[in-house]
Amino acid sequence: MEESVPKKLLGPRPQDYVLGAILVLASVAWLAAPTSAGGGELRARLVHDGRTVGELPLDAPATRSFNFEAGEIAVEVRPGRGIHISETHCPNKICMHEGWIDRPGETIACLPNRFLVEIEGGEPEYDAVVN
Amino acid sequence: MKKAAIILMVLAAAAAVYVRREDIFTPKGKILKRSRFTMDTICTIQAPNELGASRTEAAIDKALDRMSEIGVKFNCTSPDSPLYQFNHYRTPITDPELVAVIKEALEVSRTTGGTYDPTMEPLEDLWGFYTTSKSSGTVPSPAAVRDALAKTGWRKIIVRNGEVTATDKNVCLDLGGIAKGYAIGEAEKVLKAEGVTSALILGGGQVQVFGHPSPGKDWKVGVRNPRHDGYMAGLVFPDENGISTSGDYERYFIVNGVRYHHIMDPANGYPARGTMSVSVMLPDPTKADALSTALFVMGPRKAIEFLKKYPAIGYIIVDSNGKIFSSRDISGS
Repeated sequence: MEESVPKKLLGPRPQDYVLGAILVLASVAWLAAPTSAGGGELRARLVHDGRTVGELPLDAPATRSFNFEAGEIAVEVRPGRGIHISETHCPNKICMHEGWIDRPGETIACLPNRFLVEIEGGEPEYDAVVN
Repeated sequence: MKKAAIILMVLAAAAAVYVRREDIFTPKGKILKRSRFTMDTICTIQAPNELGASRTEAAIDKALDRMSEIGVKFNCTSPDSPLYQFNHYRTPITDPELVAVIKEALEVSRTTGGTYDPTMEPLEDLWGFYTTSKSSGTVPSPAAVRDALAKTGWRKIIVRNGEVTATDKNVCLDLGGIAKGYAIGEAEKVLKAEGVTSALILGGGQVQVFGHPSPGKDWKVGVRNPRHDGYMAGLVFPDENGISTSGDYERYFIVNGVRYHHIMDPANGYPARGTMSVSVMLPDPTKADALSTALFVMGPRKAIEFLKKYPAIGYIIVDSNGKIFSSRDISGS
């Protein structure tokens, strides 16, 4: 069988290198391209010390609790209300006082736990929100 | 040999694409954003990608580093801070940056008749609003309040020949009511020095903007109602400007149905009454920070009288009944 195929067809041709190069570069581009976090359904991103520890869509009831530096902290999602800190063991409970948030760009921060809740998705009405 | 060279070139090109992926794939104008816990709050800086993603993000990081540096230096509970040394060992403050901000703080005290006072630390400590390890959650006795109040007084602070001293050995400095604004202003300087032409800096209840988020658009800031019932204002900032808010809604506790919050009236040592929140809009973030506290303490009527002398300062004041007084249309964009 091998004898019936011309020898030059068995080796790589210049166009094979071009195709290979394109495939390698396309793969790297696909792997390296940053994903877009904007748009889509409203969700709360839960961040501890700069690291995402959870994502909760705002259209489904949910609770999550964590144990961080300052003790236990819990969040609750209630469709129609948004998300809030439902429990914390830090003494001043500033994060609980923030109440519910439900619009893109709104945040709740718990300093003693270095914990951040941030609403993402949708089209933000404002670039920043202050109380 | 030739084949090996081609393969190496392809791999090198792939590596280069990977290393510079942020710059290659981040579209021009996309808003880049970074947050950091510093200055006793969460600080966020966002800027459109105009310089390339890596340069823009490096500029943002540098600005956040500057805020963190100020956070350490201006933290009166940190033994490394000259403020701590001053408060505990009476060591005169000679750090030029601190001296300059203390001078500015005292100037706001003078202008506002002392409704902003950078010497309230004994009262803040007594009421326990700023500790993360303990909170009193109880109303201190009148005698304890009187004792703490006796240790305050901005007039007891002397700034002379680049040195800060005190006429009373009990008086302590706490720049918490002005340092965040100063740090935001410094972050703005860093960003501009790095070539950033547009950014929004958010730290706690304070925002500072310059430039535009995209051509033809202005930065927009939402102000939530102090009782968290949606938004009471949507502000558009076409020029360099900022907003600082002080309110009774974050650091507080309730005893027998009465809300005790963290903004103390220097006249009596108790939480200032008559106001829910005050937002001040002016381009100088240091002044805006201190003024929002001062105007909160004044109460709505006196604050509005005071602001008549300074028409360039924008304001939104919510009184204790929830009535809103504003210098501008706050209905939104």
